[in-house]
Amino acid sequence: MDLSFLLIQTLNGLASASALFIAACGLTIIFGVTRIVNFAHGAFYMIGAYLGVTLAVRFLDFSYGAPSFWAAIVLAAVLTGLLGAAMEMLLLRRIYRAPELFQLLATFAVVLIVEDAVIWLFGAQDILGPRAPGLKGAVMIAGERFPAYELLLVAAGPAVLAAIWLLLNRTRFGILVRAATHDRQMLAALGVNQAVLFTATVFLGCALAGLAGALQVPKQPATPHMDVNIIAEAFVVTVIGGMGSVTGAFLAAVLIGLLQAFGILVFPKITLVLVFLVMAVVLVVRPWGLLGTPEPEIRGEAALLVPLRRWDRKATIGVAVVFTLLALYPLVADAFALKLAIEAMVFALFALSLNLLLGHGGVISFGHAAWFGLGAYASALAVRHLGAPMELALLAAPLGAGLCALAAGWFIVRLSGVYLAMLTLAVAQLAYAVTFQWVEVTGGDNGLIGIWPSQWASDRIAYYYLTLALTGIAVAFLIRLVFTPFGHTLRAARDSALRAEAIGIDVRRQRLAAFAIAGSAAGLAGGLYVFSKGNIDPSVLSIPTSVDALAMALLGGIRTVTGPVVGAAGLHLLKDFVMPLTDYWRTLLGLTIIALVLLFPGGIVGTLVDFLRRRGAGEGAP
Amino acid sequence: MSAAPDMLRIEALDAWYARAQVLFGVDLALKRGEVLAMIGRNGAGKSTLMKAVMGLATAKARAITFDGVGIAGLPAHRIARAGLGYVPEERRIFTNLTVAENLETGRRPARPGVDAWTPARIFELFPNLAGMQHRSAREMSGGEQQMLAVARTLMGNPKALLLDEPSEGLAPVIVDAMADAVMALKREGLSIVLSEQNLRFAGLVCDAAVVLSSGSLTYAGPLRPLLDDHDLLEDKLGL
Repeated sequence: MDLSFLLIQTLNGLASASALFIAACGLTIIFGVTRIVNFAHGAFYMIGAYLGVTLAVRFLDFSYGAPSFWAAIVLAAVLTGLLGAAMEMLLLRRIYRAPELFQLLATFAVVLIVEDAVIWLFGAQDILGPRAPGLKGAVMIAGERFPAYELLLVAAGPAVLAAIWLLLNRTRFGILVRAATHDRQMLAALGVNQAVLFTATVFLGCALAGLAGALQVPKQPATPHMDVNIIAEAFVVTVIGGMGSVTGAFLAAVLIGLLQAFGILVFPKITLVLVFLVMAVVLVVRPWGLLGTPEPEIRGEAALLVPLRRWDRKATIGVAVVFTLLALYPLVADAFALKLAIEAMVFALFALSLNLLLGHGGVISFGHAAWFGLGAYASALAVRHLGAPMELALLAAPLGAGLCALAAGWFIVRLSGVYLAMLTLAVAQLAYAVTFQWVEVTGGDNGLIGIWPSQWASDRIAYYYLTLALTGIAVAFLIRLVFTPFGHTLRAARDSALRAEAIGIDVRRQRLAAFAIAGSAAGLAGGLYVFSKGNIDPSVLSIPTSVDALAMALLGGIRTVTGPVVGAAGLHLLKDFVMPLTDYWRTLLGLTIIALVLLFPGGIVGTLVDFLRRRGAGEGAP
Repeated sequence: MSAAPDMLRIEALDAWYARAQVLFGVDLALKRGEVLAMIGRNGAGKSTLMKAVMGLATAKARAITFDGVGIAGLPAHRIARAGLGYVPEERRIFTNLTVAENLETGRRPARPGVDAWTPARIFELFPNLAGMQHRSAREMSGGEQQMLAVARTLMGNPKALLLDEPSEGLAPVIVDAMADAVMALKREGLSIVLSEQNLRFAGLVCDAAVVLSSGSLTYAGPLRPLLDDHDLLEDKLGL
């Protein structure tokens, strides 16, 4: 490696750092003021790219030259910002006081809707943009050719940083924005209209996302899935930098950019893994990122929670009836109905395991797909590489996932709130990256195929009973756990970690135990899933799988014991019977999530229990 | 508007902290140009009353009139813009901003009939702040933060102030400086509700007083009798 090569590689790293910074800084600004982690930020990046392509082509047709091109880029950014402002007024404004989980899910719903809208408007194919007039060639740097446009990007990052710094430090708007990150209620008491300030902030943040997307136009095509790639990286950058810190985001972007530019030379196989590894390390050393400050004390939700009702005979009878009905089900069901039922049971266990963390532990796990997927891969790998029979492989699933959850949980439980959610997301992305990039072992993108049950269980009905038995035992265990002293202390720590610590509960250890148990249960669900399908690929570990689990728990009701099971069944019915009827199932799912968050935050079971309680029939969540 | 006899009038105010009711049917009237002491033990509801008037606490009232205009149910920023300034007990300074920036957050357009506040006038009132305009508010002492909290609210050119325990936790010499400032504001014509546990401080600046006990009003009248008659004060403060 000679010096000029190092220089070029550094410039490459800085160019991608700039792009990453511009994409991420809007996210961090929005979080700083509104305390909402805008999952839809990647969607606005994608909107910026599509608007950029469309406008640039039109404008260059009209009059070819650099002014037309840059006018198109700026207009794309402004229009994206306006769409962001619309989202703020229609959706975010209603959820500023909602729990973080609801905010994450509501903005993820926007992702789903935008993905559909983009495909509907622009089609599913990639759209290649025009190159920037005047910047098409390369310049010679230290005897090497370097694209002129990349050089412009290298400068764009610091330029945006400087502009934002001036805006935040030298204007009244900026001073109010910074004051709002500290204490927005006090700001209102001084006569500042928060609604206007928040809308303006979200406009600014989304316009920056749009600018980042539009700046990519000459480099890469606009595609309907570019949002997911950028959002994971933007999260990493904001979390490493410290959420709410623009300068921190810049430092983190440079760190990641250089790491990727040089990491690819040293470890070409694990570039994706490297990024999330760095994030995990930074969060362990500095739990609030490089330049972040501790989150203000979490809002006291405790007063609004109602203790769970004691598990009584009625509940036991109810469960027994459901179990009996399920046992009789194969008598009336055809093969397709059996397949659906197997999946529903698997996902019921998956959702219930998540709710041990979410509902009872108060731990927002945004990457629960990791344990489901690792369980599935543990089973599949045991079959593929060790030649294990199904029985052993099914044992490997909860064991493997549980051990991984224990190891990752050791890091995760040190954090709280949004940072914890982001770290769980990073861990899931890490697991995804490993399965995706470690092609020799996992088959990479193609996954592993031919993972079938043993002879005796290969019949659909036999496998149905096996699934019923195993998920039944696991579900019963999880429900029982909620009513043990462990369940009580877990909820005590959820309602007030400080007070729980004060009476001698080791909150971290409780949560770590919950993580390991939830991970094992999700792993078992994953193992059962892989043998029902016969194959596995990395998509089971992806963000949408995690969101599915969250949506199921939410649909059923996270403040209830059995809700997630009901939610899993409900969402599965929706997915199998309603969504195939339309091309816009993502929109449908997104609107369902938004409706749940805004109208029925208690979920099906939670709302039902509330209704019964108001009529004086019950006094707690079954 | 200017014909209304009282600057602030509260009728039958109920207020809650989380789910617990803290105030029960409180009436209060603040006359123009008056400094009214609000006295009560810890937890009597003094701070909640101020938050409720500002629209920052869950509350219900028959009426809250400020300078002749109903403000019950309005969002906090509208109440502040109407000319009611609020200085919270915890001061709630923006510690991530400088002193000058903190003043900027409170700045509102000039109001007819009020001599508009500028940083220069603020520094006449609180000379201590003049030398530290570009210092981070995080590095200020408690007394300096208290002065900044009052100054920041004054930048909104209020017609009346709700001052929540401005002397709490301050050194005696700072308490005296604060009393001088409040007297100066009174001379400017500001009407002030001053929540206080420090009766010496209240005695320096207040004319009238109300006493809150367990969320209800037990006294409304001149301050003097409460200062002179310890038994009367104890009786009104309640358990």
